[in-house]
Amino acid sequence: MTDASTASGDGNSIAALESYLGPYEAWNFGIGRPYAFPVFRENDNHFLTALAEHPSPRKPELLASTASTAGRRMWLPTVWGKSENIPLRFWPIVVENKARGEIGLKSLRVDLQEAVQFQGIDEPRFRMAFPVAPAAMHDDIGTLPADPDWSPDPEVRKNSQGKVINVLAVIDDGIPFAHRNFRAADGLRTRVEFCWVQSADKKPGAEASSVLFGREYTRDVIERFIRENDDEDALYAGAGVSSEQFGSPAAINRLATHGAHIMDAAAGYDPNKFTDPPEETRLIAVQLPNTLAWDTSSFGKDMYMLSAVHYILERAERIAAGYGVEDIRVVINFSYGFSAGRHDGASELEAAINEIVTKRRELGRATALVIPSGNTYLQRLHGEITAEDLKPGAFEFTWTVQPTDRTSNYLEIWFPAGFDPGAFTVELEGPFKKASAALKLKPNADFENGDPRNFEVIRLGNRHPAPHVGQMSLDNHRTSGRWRVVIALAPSEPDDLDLPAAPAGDWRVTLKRGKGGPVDHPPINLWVQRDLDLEAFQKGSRQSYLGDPRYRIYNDRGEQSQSDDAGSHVRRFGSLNGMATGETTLIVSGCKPAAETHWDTKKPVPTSYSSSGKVSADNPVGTVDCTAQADRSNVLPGMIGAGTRSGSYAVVQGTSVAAPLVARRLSEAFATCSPEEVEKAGKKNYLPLLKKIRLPDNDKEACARLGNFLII
Amino acid sequence: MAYFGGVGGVGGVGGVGGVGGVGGVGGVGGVGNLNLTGIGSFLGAGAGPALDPLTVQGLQTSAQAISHAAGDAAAHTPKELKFSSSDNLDKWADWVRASLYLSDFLSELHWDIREEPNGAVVLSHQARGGSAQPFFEVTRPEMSVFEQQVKIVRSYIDQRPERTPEILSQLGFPTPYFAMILGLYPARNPKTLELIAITQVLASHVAMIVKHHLAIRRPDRIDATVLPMITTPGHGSFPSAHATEAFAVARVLEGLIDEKKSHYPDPDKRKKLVRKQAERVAVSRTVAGVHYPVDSWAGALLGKMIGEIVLNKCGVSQLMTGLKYEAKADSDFMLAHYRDPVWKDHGVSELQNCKVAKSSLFEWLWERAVGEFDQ
Repeated sequence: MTDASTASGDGNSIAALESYLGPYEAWNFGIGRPYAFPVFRENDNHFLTALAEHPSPRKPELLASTASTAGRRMWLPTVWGKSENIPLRFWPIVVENKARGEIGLKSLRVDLQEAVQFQGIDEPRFRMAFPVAPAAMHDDIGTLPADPDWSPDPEVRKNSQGKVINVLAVIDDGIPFAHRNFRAADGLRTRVEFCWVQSADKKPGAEASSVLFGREYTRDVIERFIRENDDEDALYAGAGVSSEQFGSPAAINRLATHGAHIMDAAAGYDPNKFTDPPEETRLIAVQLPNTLAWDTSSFGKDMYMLSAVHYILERAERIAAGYGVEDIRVVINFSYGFSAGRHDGASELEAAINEIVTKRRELGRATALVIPSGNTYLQRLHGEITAEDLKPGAFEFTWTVQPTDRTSNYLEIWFPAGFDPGAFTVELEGPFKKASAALKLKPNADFENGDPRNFEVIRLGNRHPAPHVGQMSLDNHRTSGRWRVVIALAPSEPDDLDLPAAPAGDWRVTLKRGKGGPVDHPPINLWVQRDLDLEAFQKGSRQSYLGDPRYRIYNDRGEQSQSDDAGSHVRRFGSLNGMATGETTLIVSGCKPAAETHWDTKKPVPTSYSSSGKVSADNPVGTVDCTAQADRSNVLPGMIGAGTRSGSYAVVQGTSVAAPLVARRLSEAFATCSPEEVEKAGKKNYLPLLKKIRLPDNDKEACARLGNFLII
Repeated sequence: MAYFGGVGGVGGVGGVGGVGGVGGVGGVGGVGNLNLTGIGSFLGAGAGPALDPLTVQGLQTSAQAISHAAGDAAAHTPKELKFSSSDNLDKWADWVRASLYLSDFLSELHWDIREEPNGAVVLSHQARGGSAQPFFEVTRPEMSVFEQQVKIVRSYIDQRPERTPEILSQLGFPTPYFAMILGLYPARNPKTLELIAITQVLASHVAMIVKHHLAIRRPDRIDATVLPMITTPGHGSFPSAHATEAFAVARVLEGLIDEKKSHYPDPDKRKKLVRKQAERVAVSRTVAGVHYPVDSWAGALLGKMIGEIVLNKCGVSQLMTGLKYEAKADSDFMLAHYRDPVWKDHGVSELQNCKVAKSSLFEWLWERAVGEFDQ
């Protein structure tokens, strides 16, 4: 593809973006589209997805009725609260794309507008996600999926006398739903009541699907698979989950997946370990679309994630009704994250999850969400620009982009709440002055609808027309009073060698204050978006970072430094997972035994990668609540858990591994605690219910990284 | 977040125990040999050492110096070895026995080539003086089949990192992978390992005949993005010799387990694992990027027939049902489909029954292999 086809005119094509679409959408569907992930850039997208944020709560029945009369078809996946008609502002939606499968900014706008039917002030804001593959989409169902064909297991009540039946759910990739470790002690009945594989091809000839896309497996279906197959390869193939998904080979065909390991840590009982599983904890699993095929920056997943939470809570109510449990308690483990975002709990996905969890808690139904703190502590993805730094009127810093990076890079600059950056400018200069751009941090009045915002194109060299290699943007995020600048850069080595590349090296970013700009303010935060390749070389992403010679990687003793240096704006503290800052989430960091001692549970040390909030008492970026072991020792990385096939094992490392242990302990507490205890603990996201070891509070840095408690 | 290989990879340290395999050097039992195909571990096995010139000279001077001590009494009457008897096999070097097994097997193997279009190779068993009885027929698939198949090959590429140790240590015959399941040990199971080795050798020879005639290009020749992780072998793709060998061995080991059912407490599990291992060996070659799934299909079916011929020659039974294979473009290879009647959907059909007579050579080997498993 040549440059001419990537943008019409001189880059003001971005002005075509008239609606509430954010900078990531603008880049991935606009001038950055040739660099976007294949599912975005291919022209066979018939089913667009989005997380829609309405200005005021809407009842599902209203959404469903607009959908049926709309000009374009719109569907809702399985949603919680439908029977009680609970109004929510955030909804996951799937919209028909009539532009013959093509996606462009213009057609996107028309598609969304016609499907959701909004006008003027009622206009919802959209966070786009990956399209649903036609092979996975049940477009022949009505607006909502059918009820699942499910009935409770008559043995469960008998086998869980004296315990409170509860739900433990896992959202992850490559879920081995038939694994031996998730079955009851008899090895024949499974504890998994529902499993939704979001990107599985639909069942051939199936009518009245119980999910909008992908496939759902209920307990009796899984048990039938187990009875009929003693070969698990055949089982998953027969179940339709081992075919290609999202253009990538299915993760379940591998020996080890993140999801298998996480679900085992949360809910697995290895029959070789002689402990019978508790039947009172009923399991729900959601397998997200193949992470291998996902955008390495995590853009495009929000709709799938919110759908997963809706699904779990909807199915949990069915389990409650089936087993005769009032106000069933639910724990959800979500071992996932990204590095950028506003870190105040108000990102789209966090706000959406927060809304639904709060609504459910208000009904007296305990709902816990466990999320890892993140693994980016030492990756130089976070920085702070203080008022002191800006005293001279400008602050210059370096953003280092690596060579042979085949995916886009993003840097986010977040201004404090209520801070008006109107008098500021951001200037950008590429390595060896190969590119430059400047953005005035004032909204462009041409954009009448949507969040106040502005865009500028980053061009390569001085030739005319100079090719585009990036985009700078300003937006008042969710019109919430928090302004952000996003710099999106093309890959340094695009898949298509004919496309212009953003030069690798040090990009200089200068934040300049103009006349009248505020001089006294809380720090301005920098976060580089993650660019994580789960499988080395699959996507060819290489993490960009904040380069600073004053940032010391090693301390005087030659150890990897675990503390921030006064001299550098690049910070370790504040690197917390961008979706781990919500009000209703329990955040878990990773720890390990200290190098010089045996496993002394009073003295765990943070794993070197385990991300953290700020040390300050008024920590504005989210807080670690507790910690759990994530490395076996200084020299044995990771923890051992299940692989995808019964009897297989794998080692996985990261705070991802710590979170599910906390989810597991929480489900154990939910099985025994009284309603009063649970109700009371809700305010603290149920942390008080956990059996825990209190950690010393004299070391503020350790507290910021570990929280106050160790969970074992 | 980071993934490390299966925990098994860590357990690989235990492989140091494999040093014990050094004991197998010189014997066919050497489980350790990894990169020999062709005649496999039989190459030179059991042959006396090629002596160095100094020793040869030393032997001559010492012979001259000591021979007088034997005295000059009349020579004793020597005993003859039995004429044309398998009893003598014990006395021959391993490679000699291998040569005999191979010659015996190939002397009864015939192949007929059906010309294009619908070119095919038909393998028959024909005892001396008997008539040819086809036991395996495979038609040459159209190129369009492989164009579809290469898509399936690509869907396996992501498993390369996790299968690399297996792929590299199975470049030759994957004997340790079967030995693991049955607990075979060179000192205790020399003839079982010899039986496995010769089965692999026979399977390999037969596979080469079929490959030569069908002459199918490897996946990397029809799609530039396959980029195999190992050197593409110097022979045709279809059928897979690895699949042929592995499934031939699996069939023979099943026969062995059945023969001494009471030896293992769990014979059915062992048989399942042997078959599953054969599947994994075959599929790993697709992961590596050197075989299409239909290569595994053709090889697995051919291997089953060769395993049955070996069992028949060993005197276990005398009848077998031949198989015919016509590759289907959308077939992936998996064990769950590799059985009647499911395999009909994948292009497998039956031929006439075929009768294979016992062979004193194979009976001798079988008896000793079976003798290595107590009740």
